[in-house]
Amino acid sequence: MLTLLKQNLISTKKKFLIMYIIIFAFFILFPITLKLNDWIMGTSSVLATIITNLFVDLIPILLIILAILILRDSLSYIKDSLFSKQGYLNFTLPFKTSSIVLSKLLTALIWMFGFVVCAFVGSLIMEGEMQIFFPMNDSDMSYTFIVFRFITQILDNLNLLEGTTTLQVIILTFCALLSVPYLIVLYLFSNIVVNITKMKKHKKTVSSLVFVLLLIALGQFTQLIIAILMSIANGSLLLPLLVNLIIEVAVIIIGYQLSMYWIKYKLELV
Amino acid sequence: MALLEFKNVSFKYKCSNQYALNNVSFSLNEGQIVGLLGPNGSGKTTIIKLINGLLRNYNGEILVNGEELNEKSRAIISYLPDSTYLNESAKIEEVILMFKNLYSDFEEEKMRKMLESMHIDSKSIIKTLSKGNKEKLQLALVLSRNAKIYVLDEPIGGVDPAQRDFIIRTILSNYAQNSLVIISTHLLEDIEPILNRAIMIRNGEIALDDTKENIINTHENKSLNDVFKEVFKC
Repeated sequence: MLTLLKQNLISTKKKFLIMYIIIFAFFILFPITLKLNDWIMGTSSVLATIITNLFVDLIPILLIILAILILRDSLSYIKDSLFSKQGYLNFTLPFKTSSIVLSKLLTALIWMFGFVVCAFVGSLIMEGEMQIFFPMNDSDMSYTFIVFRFITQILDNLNLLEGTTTLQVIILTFCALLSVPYLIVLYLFSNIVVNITKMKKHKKTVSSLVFVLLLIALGQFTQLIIAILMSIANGSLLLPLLVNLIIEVAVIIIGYQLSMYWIKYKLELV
Repeated sequence: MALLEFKNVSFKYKCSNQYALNNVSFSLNEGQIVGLLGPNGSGKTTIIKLINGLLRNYNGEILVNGEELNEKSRAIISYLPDSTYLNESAKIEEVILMFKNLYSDFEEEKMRKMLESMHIDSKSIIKTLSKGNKEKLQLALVLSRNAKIYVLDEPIGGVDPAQRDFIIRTILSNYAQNSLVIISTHLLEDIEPILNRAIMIRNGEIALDDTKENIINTHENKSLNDVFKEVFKC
């Protein structure tokens, strides 16, 4: 299993590492751009202001695009390596079928978590840079920086963790972490469901559709259960959070087991 | 004990109502070069995919070295599919490293010698290779393993006659001796000289299964190619 995982990471590292480097570059450049903008505001150059403002606006957009790209590439890695022609190679490797599939899922999982780690470390670096570049009082701040602080203040006010107990925070963290394997298992499940049906064409489109529908259906189901529990538990968050965690774990286990059963006994690579 | 055995194997694709294979039985031993022969759609690729575990919902029994299909059987089978199964954006060097890491019987030295004789640069990216070179690369990877069973699906299907000779010569000079080689093709004329057994498949059933010598003797000394034409006459 470890051999497979190592090999998968080696063969996919190029694409993902480049995206991680771009993320880091954005986080490092963001405060520098703000500082540059701050300086340009003082020079009153209209063109320079437009260019730096554009750059400041582009950074968050590019970050969102990269997050989407990593998600897309991680998920399509599972599909390409197991359900396309590359499956001919992967399913004929001298390893257990369960190890082959699990190694692919773990590879996608590692690259997705890698993005979270990169974003977290990058934001810490950015925070450090901000303190170096903008040590002054609020009254001395540039317009752009004030806007940036205003946005972060709004995000702080929306913080879901405020007023929750330690246990609730732990459960919330687990729920957030499990959402990545949850997505991966649902994606695998959607692909194998399409593989074992009589469908001849448009498998890619249908599996994506099944994936989205499953996400919506399970999301709605979880929300309904949480709403019911919230009314029973008089507004307490603990029980709904716990149930949310249980639902996520159940979906991961059942989805994985069902997918593995179908892959082992019903797989048809045409 | 046979190296590869099919016992009453039947298979139906999910998208079809007809059996792609119907009650197929045969038994193959080491040291044989077997031609799996038949027109397009006769069931050759289905047999090959079943041997490699790419189709799993079958009836009957498939035994490799006396055991049902599992990771041990996969370890002794070297499989060449009829299309590219490599990640085309990878470099050849990366694929060599992958085979070296994942197959204990892979001989890197042999692979490099074959690439040299094929005039393929190992630094190339796979998608930049021509169709013929992609097929040669895959063949080199498959033959660089010291496998007990080589399963080659249409190895000369998509190449010109000059390249066919080269591929056949490469197969003959590189497969591990005393192994079983299964070659699926409908281009019998080119492959006939190297075969010592033929299994002819018609509509998912075995039409003929014997040694080349016996087939020729029982068919008035006709070549395998002529017998093939006779069996599959429209």
